[in-house]
Amino acid sequence: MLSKVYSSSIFGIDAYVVTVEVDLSPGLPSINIVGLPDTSIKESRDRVRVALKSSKFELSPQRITINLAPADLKKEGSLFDLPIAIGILAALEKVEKESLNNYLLVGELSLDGKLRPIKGALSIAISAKENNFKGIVLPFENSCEASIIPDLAVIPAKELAEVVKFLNKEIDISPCQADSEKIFVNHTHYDLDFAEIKGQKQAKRAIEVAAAGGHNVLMVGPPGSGKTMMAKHIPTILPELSLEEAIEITKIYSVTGLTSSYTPLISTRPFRSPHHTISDAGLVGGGPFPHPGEISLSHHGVLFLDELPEFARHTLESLRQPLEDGVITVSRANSSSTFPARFMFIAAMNPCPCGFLADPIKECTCHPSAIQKYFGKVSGPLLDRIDIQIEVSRIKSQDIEENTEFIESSISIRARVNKARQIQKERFKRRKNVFFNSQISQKDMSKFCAIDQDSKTILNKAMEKLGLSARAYYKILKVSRTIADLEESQEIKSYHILEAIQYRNLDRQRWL
Amino acid sequence: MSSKDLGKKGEEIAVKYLKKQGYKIIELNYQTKLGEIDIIALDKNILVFIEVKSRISPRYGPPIEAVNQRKRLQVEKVAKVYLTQKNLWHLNCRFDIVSIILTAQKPNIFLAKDAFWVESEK
Repeated sequence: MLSKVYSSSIFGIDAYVVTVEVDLSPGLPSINIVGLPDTSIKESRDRVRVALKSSKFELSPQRITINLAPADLKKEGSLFDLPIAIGILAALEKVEKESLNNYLLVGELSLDGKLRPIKGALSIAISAKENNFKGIVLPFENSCEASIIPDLAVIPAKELAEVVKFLNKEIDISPCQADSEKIFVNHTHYDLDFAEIKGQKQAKRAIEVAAAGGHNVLMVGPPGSGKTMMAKHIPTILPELSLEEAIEITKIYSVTGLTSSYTPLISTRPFRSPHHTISDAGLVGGGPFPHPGEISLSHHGVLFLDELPEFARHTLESLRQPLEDGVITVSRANSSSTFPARFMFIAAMNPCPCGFLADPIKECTCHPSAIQKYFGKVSGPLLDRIDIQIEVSRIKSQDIEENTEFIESSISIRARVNKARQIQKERFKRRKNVFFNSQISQKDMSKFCAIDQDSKTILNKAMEKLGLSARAYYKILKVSRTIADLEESQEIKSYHILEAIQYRNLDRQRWL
Repeated sequence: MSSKDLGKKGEEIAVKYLKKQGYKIIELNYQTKLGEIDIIALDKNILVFIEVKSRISPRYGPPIEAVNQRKRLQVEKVAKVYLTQKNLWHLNCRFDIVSIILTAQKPNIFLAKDAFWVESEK
């Protein structure tokens, strides 16, 4: 007796259809799963057998062979428990084979026969829709997330016995229907606001410019100056997510197991701040079954690396390509998966190992060679990608007492950022893969960042006096373009250039 | 009583008990180079390979637990030989364990039907 049940497996952040074939034969009793299952799928054997018993289905001893097709792709996860159990029951003719053609089945089983939540429900739902399935049967906790996909019957189930009755048309389970727009709107709420940050006007301004033009930022300052706090607030001034972007982020989080029935749709921009001991695979993605890394979890959001010099050099090196392309491709022996990774890169560091180099009050206790070594750790191609360098100094006492009422809120800053983004959208409408000023190629400089003679003079003088490199030159132009956009000025004026030059602090001081 | 005698006595008791349960005894002490199986019987249309474990007292734990990994693998191997020799691969098979504790008066008999399945290759 052979039965077929349709299920799904995750590869990268997308799902593909897996056909679970079950055969029952005479001979010595055994359960054998083939089709390159990982350990958790091999353990399905025991979970399924006991779950069937708990659900009062008798499983007489026989040779059970289960194949997960396509058989040459490695599969992982515990989500095959349900389709395997149903496949066995279908082979025993306890489940109608007809309904099995219409639904995709996924779910982990507990020993008592109850369904447990899985990862990647959203991607699985998308795959089911693309493959013209009528619907999917999945654990109750994952149903809200999957129901974001329209025109798909998302059947929430709590236990195995229930699924059997449903497939045999003995009972009816109404599909879960979510109003994605409504969920989206309800969850677009940040707990933080820029109005909470006292003082630091220059730093806040620099961050506004960075947000507007998609520029990466390096903050240098003593401990306790608020670098981390400011980084955390950046998502609140970035333009709001579109529904498509939210779905893309949710897919990534779903596959990593970070969504829940409370947050079926991620509708706020992510903020990720990995510790400097993170591994390469943890940062960019990878592992034996490629999983998204921190850079993908920051997609459409912010990746904040605090204590930049403490990160291993090769780990930072692996960031170069994604910063350039906006994606990361993880290759394995017979497959490769590409994860999206378009994020705003924010880094922070102390000015020296002890942290108090430029501090007006505390004395720096570092040897000059130690300072050079410290900065030496972060020089190179990574810094090339950083357009804006801010010095964040210790907060003055009068600023701490500043009245919150008079500090500008995130909503107000975001409005300006939005306008600047609109200008950029219009500007780059004929450019593929260019969305922000930070991405303007050298070729397009003269087209988009033309400056008048006065500005040219100022810029050249600055280059000379401060010893700026050619690289710095182009960065200044790009940042000036953003500053002009924020003012809704078509031309780049000389004071825009002057402000942009300020953001090359560290070049100036020859630290980098 | 010696352990050999204990084993023999246990098997006698087991055979009687199984017959009462409706099993049809086919082979006793089926021996091959790889080992032996205590009883091979037919329970309705299922071929059953039975391992009998006897104890005098329950002190060293239930006899069923004496059928460890190694013993199970041995029973599986011998079962395969039997099926091949007698050309019986078309039958559904099962492994049972009969545990007997010979207490003072009546022997304590426990039949574990479908006690284990073949462990698949890892």
